[in-house]
Amino acid sequence: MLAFVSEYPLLTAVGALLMLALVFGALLGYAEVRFKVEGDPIVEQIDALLPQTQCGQCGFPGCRPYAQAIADGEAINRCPPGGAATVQALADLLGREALPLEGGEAEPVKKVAYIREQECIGCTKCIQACPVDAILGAARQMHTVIADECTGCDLCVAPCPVDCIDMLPVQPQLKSWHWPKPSGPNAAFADRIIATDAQKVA
Amino acid sequence: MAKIWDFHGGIHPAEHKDLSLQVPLRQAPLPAYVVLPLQQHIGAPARPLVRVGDKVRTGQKIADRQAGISACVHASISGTVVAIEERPIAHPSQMQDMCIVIESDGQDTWVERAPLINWQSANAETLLAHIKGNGIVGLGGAGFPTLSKIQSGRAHQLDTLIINAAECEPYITADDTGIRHYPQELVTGIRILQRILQPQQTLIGIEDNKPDAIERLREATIGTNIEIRVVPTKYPSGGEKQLTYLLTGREVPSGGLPADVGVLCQNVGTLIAVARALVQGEPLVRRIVTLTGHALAAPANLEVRLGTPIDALLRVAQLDPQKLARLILGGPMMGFSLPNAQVPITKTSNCVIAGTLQEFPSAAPEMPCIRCGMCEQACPASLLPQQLYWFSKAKEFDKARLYNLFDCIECGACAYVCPSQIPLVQYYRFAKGEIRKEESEALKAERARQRFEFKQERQAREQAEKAARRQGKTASAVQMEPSVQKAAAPASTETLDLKKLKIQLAAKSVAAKKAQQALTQAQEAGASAEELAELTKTFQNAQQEQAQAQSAIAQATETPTATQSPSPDVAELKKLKIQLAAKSVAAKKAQQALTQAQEAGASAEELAELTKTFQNAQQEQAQAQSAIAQATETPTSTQSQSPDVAELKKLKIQLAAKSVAAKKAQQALTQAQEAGASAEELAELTQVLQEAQQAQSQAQAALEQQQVPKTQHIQAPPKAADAHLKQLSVQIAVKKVAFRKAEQAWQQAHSSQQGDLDVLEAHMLNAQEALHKAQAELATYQAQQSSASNKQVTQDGDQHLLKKRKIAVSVAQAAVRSAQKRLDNLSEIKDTPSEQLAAQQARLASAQAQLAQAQDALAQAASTRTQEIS
Repeated sequence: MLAFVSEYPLLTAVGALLMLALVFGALLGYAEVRFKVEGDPIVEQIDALLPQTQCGQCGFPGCRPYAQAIADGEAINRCPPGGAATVQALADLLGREALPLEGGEAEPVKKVAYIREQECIGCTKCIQACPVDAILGAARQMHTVIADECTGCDLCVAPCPVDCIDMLPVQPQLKSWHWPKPSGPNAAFADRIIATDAQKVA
Repeated sequence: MAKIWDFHGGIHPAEHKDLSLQVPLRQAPLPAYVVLPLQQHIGAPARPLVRVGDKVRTGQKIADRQAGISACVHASISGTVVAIEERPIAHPSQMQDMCIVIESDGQDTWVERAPLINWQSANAETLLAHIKGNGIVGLGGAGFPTLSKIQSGRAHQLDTLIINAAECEPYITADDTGIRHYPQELVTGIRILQRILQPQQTLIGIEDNKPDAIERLREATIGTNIEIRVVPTKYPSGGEKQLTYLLTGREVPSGGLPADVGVLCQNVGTLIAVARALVQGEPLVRRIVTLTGHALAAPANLEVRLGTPIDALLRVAQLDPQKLARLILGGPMMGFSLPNAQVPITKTSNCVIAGTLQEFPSAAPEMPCIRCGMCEQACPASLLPQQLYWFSKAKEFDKARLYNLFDCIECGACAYVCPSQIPLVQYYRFAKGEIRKEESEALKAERARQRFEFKQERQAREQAEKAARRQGKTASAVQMEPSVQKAAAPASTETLDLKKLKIQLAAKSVAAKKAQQALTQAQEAGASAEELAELTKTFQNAQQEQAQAQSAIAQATETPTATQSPSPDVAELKKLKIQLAAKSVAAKKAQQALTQAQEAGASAEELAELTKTFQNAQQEQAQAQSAIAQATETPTSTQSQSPDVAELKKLKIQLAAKSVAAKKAQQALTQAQEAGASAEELAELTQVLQEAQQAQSQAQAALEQQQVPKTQHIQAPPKAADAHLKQLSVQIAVKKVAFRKAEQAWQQAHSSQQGDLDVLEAHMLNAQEALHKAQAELATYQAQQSSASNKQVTQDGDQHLLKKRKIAVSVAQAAVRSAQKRLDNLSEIKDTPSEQLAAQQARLASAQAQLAQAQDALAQAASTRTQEIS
């Protein structure tokens, strides 16, 4: 053995490297099979960040298709219901730049569908349109919205033949109330400036 | 002296406690009304048990707890429930909440109290049930339901019960006053809790700034195993976690509760309430409230009924509105400002501070953080307030959580020491609120996602089911043809041909569709009549080609099946069926073309031509139908069946074909009428219709005749008389149909003021006459029959006769009724000739006479029968 090594150092080196390559190749091949990840985990993560309104305002039929599209390189600023917070979260997740929301509106207003029940004719069109089955009713019976399940996606408004669905902003509730953000030092400073300016003008 | 562990941080603000301790505890005067919010505690709001207008007595339960973490509410005065509505409550959001409003009757009559007299020997469950039933919540400030707190504590291994008497916040002296005035009740309350929890040690933690209270406690706890631990005055030693550390040296883990280290804390006021509830049977309807601040002339501690409006208490404490700068509910460190005093005292309101401007100057403007680190020095929870501030301000909530934002007890020590006057606690509260909101939204989003996915799944399933159903239908319609083919011949030249033909058909269909579209467009564009006619012709040609292609395919499809099928009959049948289908399509298309032409307002000649085409198509269809019927007959007849049955079937099929023809003729007539065809055309069509109807009725009659012998043949005792009877009734039925049709035709003609009214009417009257004749014949025959059977002496025969007479009577009645109806119809229609009316009246009279005869006969039969029986 030693004699062989000393006699053919080149061959030995090549042989050793070949052995190493084989061993690591086998290891990698095994790992690929053993630790295979089903599906694309990044799509799941993106989907978890989207607001799940299923409104289609991004141009995709639902949140998951948009998540898939983002994973494939689509822009991350196409979700108006998610607002800037969602864009930021997506930017953090994907390491992309947080672009301003497409369409302008900065802070989304939470809305909930409301059916003016005396005008409802019971056509069930809105029920078919609702992506989350949040509208209750039957043919020729009055329909109503389960406000807790409504995502405010707007999809029920267009199909209504009698235009009896309103999108109302969600009223603040005692349970969901929380302290507002303090205005901060700069705001106070700005207040003072404006106050003095106002005095000067007056 | 036991060891006291000092906790990190803490501050020493000015105490101002002596302000409210100058006078002893007083009872507040009974309020004129109380406003009792349904939620005075953490958890689910209570459910009202009373209605507006109900009379309630003090201590009566007016709202019950819900499942989970909740507490009930009791009436704090006697009187009338005047409202259950949203009222402003003491909350930093200044929002409203559901409240029960009780107007006092001034009597303060109590409900019958139910004390637990032998609490010393009662078991833990009984004691807990009483705590639960009396609506007791933690009176220290947070308002956590005591029952839930004890129960969660019992789930852990508890060894220490701590009585929180520290009362570390400035100004507040409610617990101090409670200890001084009710030491015995406090000790009773502690013993009750000891009984429930069986702790190894019971410690009272009290700050050294309450010497009087400490003295009272020492006196009251002589001879008990309750230890008093005096702790140095430092804010916030009254915090649950801080007090636990002070007394036991155990640090509550991050995100945990004192119960995790074997400790349960209870507030002094809560224990006094527990003792009152169990020993005196008094539910939680009052509490001690400190009224203090320099804007009050008479600051004091008052025992206040829950729900009392704060402004009533301020009057008792002689508020000077001139001096008042800020009204604070709770302590100066953790309380919040009240914009107005029209809110009620609740179970958690321990202090009302009416501060002057000197006491509470308006907040200095917030300055930028200078990173001095004083907040870190002051934080009793050993957090990094500065980092939390940065993260909260930048809305980096994930990082704020990483720095244990939720371990912040919002004591305000950091903000107190901040040289930049940054309202740090408000930043933390904001961050906590945002995080909770995000969490709830994430939960909602998750639910929405699940619902969305479920809906998609459901839709997919429904679609699959529909598709399966459709497939099943087509499979049965084609009679498994393709499967047979597939099994027999793999890719034969025939299938190739079939494919070619199918492609041709598709091309032809497209051509037909295009022609139709062109026609429609031309119509819409208002093309000239000639153009339209030309286009219509093209369209029809296309349709014909399409139909031809279809039949070609049908034949091609036939061929392989025919070669394989065992009997040539079946193949023939199939071919015929396919032809029929093709003819039906052709007929339908002809009809469509006709309708379109009518809508487009084509000329009368064109219309007539189209109608003819349509009728031809229909005839062809009918022929095909009868051919099929015959074909169907053939195999059936070959199969060892009686020729009668085969004949019968043939007749039936003929009848069906004739009915179809009649119906179609009627449709054509209606369409022509609608289209306003000329009178001659109408008359012609009417003729066709009548012929068809006659043919139909003939076929019907033939069928009936055929059926009768068959029935005879099959029925075991064939009676010629019965058969004749049946024949007669069948004839009547046929005549009835004929009459009805004639009448319809006449009415249509009448309403449209078209056609030969006189001819139609004569036809109708003839039909009626024939019907009446048939009816009369039947009646006479029945009479004969009955007289014949009358001779039979058996009772059965009599019964039979009676039945027959009865039937005769009802037939006559029906005749009278129909005559009457017809008369009514005639008289309704204006300008009916008077002769007609008279004739109809005569007919009615004769029908009535017949009825009378029949009734007489029935009466006779009945009398003979009764005689025979007697």
